[in-house]
Amino acid sequence: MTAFIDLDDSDKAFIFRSINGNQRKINPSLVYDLIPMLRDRESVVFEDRRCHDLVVFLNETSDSPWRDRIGMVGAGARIISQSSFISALKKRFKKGHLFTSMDPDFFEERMQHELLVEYFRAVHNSYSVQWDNKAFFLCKYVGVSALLSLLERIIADLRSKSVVISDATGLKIGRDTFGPYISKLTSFSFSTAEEKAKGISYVGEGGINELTKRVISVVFGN
Amino acid sequence: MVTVITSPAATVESMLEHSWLADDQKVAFAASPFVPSATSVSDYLSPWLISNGYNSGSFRSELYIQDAQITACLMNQALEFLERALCNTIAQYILAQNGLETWARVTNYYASYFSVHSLLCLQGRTITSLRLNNAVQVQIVPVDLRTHVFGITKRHLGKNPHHQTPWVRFYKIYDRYAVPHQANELVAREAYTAEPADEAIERNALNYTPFKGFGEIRNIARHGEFSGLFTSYVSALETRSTLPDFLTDLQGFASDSDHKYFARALLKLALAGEILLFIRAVNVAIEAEWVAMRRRWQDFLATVFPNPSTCYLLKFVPLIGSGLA
Repeated sequence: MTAFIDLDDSDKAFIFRSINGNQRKINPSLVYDLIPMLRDRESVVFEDRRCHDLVVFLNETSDSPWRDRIGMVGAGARIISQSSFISALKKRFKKGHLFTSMDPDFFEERMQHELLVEYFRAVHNSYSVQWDNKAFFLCKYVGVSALLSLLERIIADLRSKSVVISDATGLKIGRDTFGPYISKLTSFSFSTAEEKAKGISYVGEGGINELTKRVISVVFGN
Repeated sequence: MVTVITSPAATVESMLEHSWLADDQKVAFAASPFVPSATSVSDYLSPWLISNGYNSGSFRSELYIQDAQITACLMNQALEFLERALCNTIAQYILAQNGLETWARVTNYYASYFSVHSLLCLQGRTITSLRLNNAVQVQIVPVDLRTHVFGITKRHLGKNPHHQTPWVRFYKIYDRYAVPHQANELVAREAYTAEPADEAIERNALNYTPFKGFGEIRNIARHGEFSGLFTSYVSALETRSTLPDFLTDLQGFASDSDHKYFARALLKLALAGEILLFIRAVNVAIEAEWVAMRRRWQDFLATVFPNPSTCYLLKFVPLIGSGLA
């Protein structure tokens, strides 16, 4: 709280105008970042808010391959809806996953931004034909969910090799780091028609689990 | 050299409305052997197709080919379409200033139409006529733009491949494209148009429907009303000196019932210019041709409009493709 004593009328008017004319809400995610206890106590609210902010960021930032490709409220038909993308991201906030408050590298929102943009740019570089293409499930809910699980596996692999993931200046890995992993994945086409011809379809949470095993197996061979 | 591809990564059908990202365009055009030329995709492909036994009946199913030279031809087409669009914009200005509303609207349509063709070429696609045993209308569809793999087909062209299909394709593709300025969304997003071919429909009404066009000669009051409104718009534009300022004004004009298509044509020209800006940065031959084109345009404008204070185009045209900073 701030108090002013003996201000003249013009200063009062100036402060009144500044407060009421320029005031903006701060990003609610900042509140949660600044108050870790609140983050833990209101984890569901926090996750919803953070995931929504991440999806908005991916859909709006100029470097993101997702820019204008996510079905936000009021947008035209898109390959993945905002709510599906949020559902895929929310799993990363569960205990033991990448975006929990205990994670040493990806607790902060800015790190999550950087990581997701760099990772999906690496995916897009290797899958430009399949990217945002309805004939492929790469950018649909099942594909995004599996790709995010693969990302966690890649980060675990990098950590096991003592690769520096981040420091005080920000993310130390980038699309080039992900390139070799995604190159291994490209033998898998994410083609709906090809999988259907083999009698395979990835539907619902069971389909996501099956697809996740498949992509991790293609990249890591286990 | 043209290579036939038997197992493409995707089918033409799945790529008809594919919207390539800026990164894809950069990779494709960076690797294209661009040389300024008047050789169109049709000029380049037709002799090869004839010599390899293809005829006008060959494209009921798709032919997949790979050749970076096609990407280079598409860039030459994109630049040529942009220049056509610019010429029509200049003609529109002269006609509208003089109250010749009907033909001002028709030339404005062509400015918009050629911009759309330019933007489609920048996405690696074109609708063209191959000269084989008979002329055959086909579309060239980029199946993998980065590696210059294209499908040729005469399917999916629609009932009006000249003045409807390009518009429909344009909106499907650019609806998801990350445009560089909010004003560009007005000409790229399907949500901002009730009918993708609305500009073609208006042009057809003016040109071909009895008593729809040339009202200015029958109603002299309309002649004055139209030129007066147009003059007020361009006088606002004449005070602008940066591209973002122009785009902000045009964003406002684009919802005006009388002059929305005028603003939309200029917004498309600006969009094509901004896309070319980042492509030019990765290919020195394209950049050199752009510099030569700009000089040509400015010489032409200086000849047509010798008094620098009289035409907004003298300020707007040099800003096309100059960046938003």
